[in-house]
Amino acid sequence: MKRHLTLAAAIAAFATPLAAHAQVAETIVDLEGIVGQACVIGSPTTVNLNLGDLTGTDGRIAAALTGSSTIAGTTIDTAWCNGPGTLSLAATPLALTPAPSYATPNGFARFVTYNADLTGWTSALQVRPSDDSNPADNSAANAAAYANPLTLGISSLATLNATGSAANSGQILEAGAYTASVTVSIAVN
Amino acid sequence: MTARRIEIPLAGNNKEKSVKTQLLCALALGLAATASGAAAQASFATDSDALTVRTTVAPFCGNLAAADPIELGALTGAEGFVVDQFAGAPKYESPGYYCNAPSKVTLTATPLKRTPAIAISDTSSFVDRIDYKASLAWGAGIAGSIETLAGAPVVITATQPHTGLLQLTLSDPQIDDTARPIAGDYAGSVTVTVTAGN
Repeated sequence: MKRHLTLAAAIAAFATPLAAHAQVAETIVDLEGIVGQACVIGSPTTVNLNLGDLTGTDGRIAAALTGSSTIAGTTIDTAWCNGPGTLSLAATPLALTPAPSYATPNGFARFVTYNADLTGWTSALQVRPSDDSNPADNSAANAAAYANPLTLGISSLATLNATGSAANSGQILEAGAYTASVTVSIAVN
Repeated sequence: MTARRIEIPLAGNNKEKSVKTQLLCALALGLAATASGAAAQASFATDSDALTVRTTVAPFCGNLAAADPIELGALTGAEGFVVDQFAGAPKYESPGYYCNAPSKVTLTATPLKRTPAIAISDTSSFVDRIDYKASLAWGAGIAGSIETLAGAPVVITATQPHTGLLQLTLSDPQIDDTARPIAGDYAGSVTVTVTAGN
């Protein structure tokens, strides 16, 4: 009896060290990546904004186009920055293109300014170009990532002086085609 | 970009090691893809849209003011001969008239004729027609005139957009000889036509 117990005990004694030596292998794999800062703006639904007939019977800008009602506009469905970014708006005056060989006659204008309003982000932007050589620009910085569609509207037309450098409202518009450019941009801070 | 780091165990059987090696390779590829994606995203640091705003103003000349008949008054003096000048400087005006493009002004005129016409038996002493001169002035620098005796239309060219008081003045009544105008009402007309564009 004692021998059986001893054997059993011996077996038990051997069994315990075996259990203590059950092997587990483990490794930790660290993962790292990066998301670069980026700002992306999609294409506007309308690239060419046609203002239509500007003048009334007296050859001057029609009264309805000089107020704050939007004459033409477009939307940009995609506009985002995945980090701090700055939204900017710049515009040039409408200019008679091509310009005639003679200077602007007295009583007439060949430059037109307007309000370009950009809304949809945390700060609305407005520019009103009054100098053809220095497009008006405005910008607003966001301190955090942001994404929202943008809306651009054109309103409040008025004639400029002969060089397009200052206001001179109420002049008769010279006949011809007028063009201007508006640039919407976003950039990583 | 932060460096990638992998801890590799030192012990284990071959089978187990080969499995871990495969897994490490897959992870390395995944990290490599993330790194290249990050490099690609850096190129979108700035983005912009350029829009064009446009319109067209058609060549146009405003509407001339309505013209009431011009009363020339008495056409003859005490001796029955035509007056040297019309009384009262008769004129037509269209204030602030404009063309937003270069334009042409065409003048045509008909002589004053006895109305209704009647037969004249003594044509050496009497006539039924009085000629005159119509002069147009438009703001500064645009002017011209027509004489009914000459007959042909006159075209006045404005080479630039123009605005100002458009005024038509009648003067210099005359008869082709020393005859007297026959009695009666006389009527004539002047037509001013403005066309935008040269």
